[in-house]
Amino acid sequence: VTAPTFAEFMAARWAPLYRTAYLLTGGPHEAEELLQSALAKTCQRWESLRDKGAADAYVRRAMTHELTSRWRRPRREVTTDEVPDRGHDGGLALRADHLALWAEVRRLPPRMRATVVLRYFEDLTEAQPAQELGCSIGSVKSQTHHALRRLRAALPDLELL
Amino acid sequence: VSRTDLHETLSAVADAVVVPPPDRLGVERRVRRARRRRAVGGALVAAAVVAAAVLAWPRGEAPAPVSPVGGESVPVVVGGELGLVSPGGSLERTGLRLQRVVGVGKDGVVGIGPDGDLVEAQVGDDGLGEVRTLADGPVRDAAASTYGSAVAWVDEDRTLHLPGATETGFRGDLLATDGDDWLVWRDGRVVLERPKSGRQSVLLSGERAVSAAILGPFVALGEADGRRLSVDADTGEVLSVHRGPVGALGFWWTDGATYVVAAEGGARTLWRCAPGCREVYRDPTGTLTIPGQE
Repeated sequence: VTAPTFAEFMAARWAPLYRTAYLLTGGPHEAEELLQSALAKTCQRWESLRDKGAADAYVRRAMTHELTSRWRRPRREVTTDEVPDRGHDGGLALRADHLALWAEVRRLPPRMRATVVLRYFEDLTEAQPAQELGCSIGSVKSQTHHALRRLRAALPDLELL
Repeated sequence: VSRTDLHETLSAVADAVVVPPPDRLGVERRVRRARRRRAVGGALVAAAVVAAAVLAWPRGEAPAPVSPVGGESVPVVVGGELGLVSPGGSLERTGLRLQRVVGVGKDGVVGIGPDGDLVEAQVGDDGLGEVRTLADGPVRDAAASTYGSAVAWVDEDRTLHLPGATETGFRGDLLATDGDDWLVWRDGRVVLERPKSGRQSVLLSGERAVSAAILGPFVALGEADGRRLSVDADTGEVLSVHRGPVGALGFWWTDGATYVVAAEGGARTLWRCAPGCREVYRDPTGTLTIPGQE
């Protein structure tokens, strides 16, 4: 079996990785920018990646690192007649209870949100997010604990239908 | 909110997202740009904005004389953004968002980020800030040593984290550390805690103190009336007093000088005192803070 080329990998994995990027950033433009940046880094390392099956994890690691370790210079404001904010749901068709919980997840700090996404969307074990975020398992446990505490405090009566 | 609720909600969001087509050109453009950068010799050459190495033994202002050190910039936060005030009195904005600046660490400026995380920020050649997280999760309070060699913080569970040690049940406001000992504002007093060396805590006469630092065998206190006190760390005896700008909001001690922020009408002024004080920068927004200032 020949190993996939980077172009093949990108074509096959763009959609699921974009969804992860969306959950990490909370917005479509930020998600696309984050994913492109992570894919560019992966592309440069593609030949040296021995296990191409682990490329998803490499991209996720690049995304979480980018998200939690760099702030960009604020963009210049541009006056426009259009209102760019499509509301707190980000234009998504979601149930009200999902919407409420998603709104609170988006308010979590980047590293905490990344931990939640990796644990509860990607269904990774505690050790895997630790590896991808470059921190200890204890940190993952702590971040998860604080995230759940914040979400429960923000939505004490939430019950999904 | 359960783990199942989270899984279900995140999956629902992911399913609802409209995925754009792969932007192969966008990725290729970024790859080319990165290769060009490497070819000219340097992605980002990150440089610590203030060289911590400049900070030698902090003599403070008393009892030893002060030797002025030129060329240093002062990390400040103005309007929620990290900036550097040059010795010439100009403000260079970095674009990095910070709630407050804690001090200068080994590799850059230590601060509390917009999400409450403890971070260390460097400034690269292209103006982007490389930022690394020093502590996971929001912190309640943090302090950096004058040398930049140690950072301490208090997490949301009131645990104090020092290099190689933790103390649970922390009470009060953390003012300063030297890596082993720490100063805390508690019950209207400044207290020097020294459990690592087994020495007793010292209550200091700091009822009016707004900032403090541990400078070897001395404790420096800055008061709202602009006075800067040098105090014996063992006895609490005041060894010397210098006057400075009234309406002082914060003090930052470095090897060469003490920097003071004072309120003046709606504006704030930054002063360099060594030991006489001169104004080096005026902030018309009235938001300027220096290391260690709330």
